[in-house]
Amino acid sequence: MRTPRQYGPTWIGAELTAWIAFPIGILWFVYDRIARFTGATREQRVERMLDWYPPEWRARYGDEFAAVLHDAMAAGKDGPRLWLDVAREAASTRTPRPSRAWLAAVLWTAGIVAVLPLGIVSVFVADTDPLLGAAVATFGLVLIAASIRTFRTA
Amino acid sequence: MLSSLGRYAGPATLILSSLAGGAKHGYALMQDVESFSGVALGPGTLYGALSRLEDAGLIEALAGEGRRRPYKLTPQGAEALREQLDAQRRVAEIGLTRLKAVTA
Repeated sequence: MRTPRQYGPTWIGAELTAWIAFPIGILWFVYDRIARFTGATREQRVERMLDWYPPEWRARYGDEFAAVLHDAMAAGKDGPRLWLDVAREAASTRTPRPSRAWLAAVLWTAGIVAVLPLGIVSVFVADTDPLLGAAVATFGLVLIAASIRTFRTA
Repeated sequence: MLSSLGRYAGPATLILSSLAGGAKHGYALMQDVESFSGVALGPGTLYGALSRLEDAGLIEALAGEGRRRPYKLTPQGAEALREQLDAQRRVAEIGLTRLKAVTA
């Protein structure tokens, strides 16, 4: 396996962009979103949290859910714990239960591919760096664990 | 019946137990559940469970008081709650009996 040095300065520039600028960009984006969210008024935060849910869910539960959010915030429960609770349930509402079985199948397949052909086998067959192979295989095991967890809640 | 709700069975049991004491709207449910169980349900968890319970026909919404809409237990909900609590009581009794044998 060739090192970045063997690819020349252009490749090193691309590597630096990928490993430094890209994560910084993502962190900046997340920080900006959080700052905008926390800087908003209570009414605006409730509106934004409602937007996380699908339109049909909002049409049925939106008004009463907004009233409960206002009550909870007025009782001093406005904080990351509340936002995470709403975000998690909104994500769950947007994931129909039958599709969780498909998601589990996709995660399982990706996990197996990562562990075997890309991880373990490539180290022996394609002379991949063992450390890279181990990292990919570990990622594959994480995907397999996620697929089992997803399947059990499907 | 409640076990089919998977990880939502816990909040569902708490909500049905609260509604067994009478119809309540969302925030009153959160307060009641916290008072008798010590569990602080978040609004997201509460409405996730309420929508699933309503879809399953275990609770039903009553006419609203402004933006607040109360919910009440249906006969199927009462039956599902009874089954769930019976199962929990059996586990508690076995656990306590075995614990007594260990500590005796």
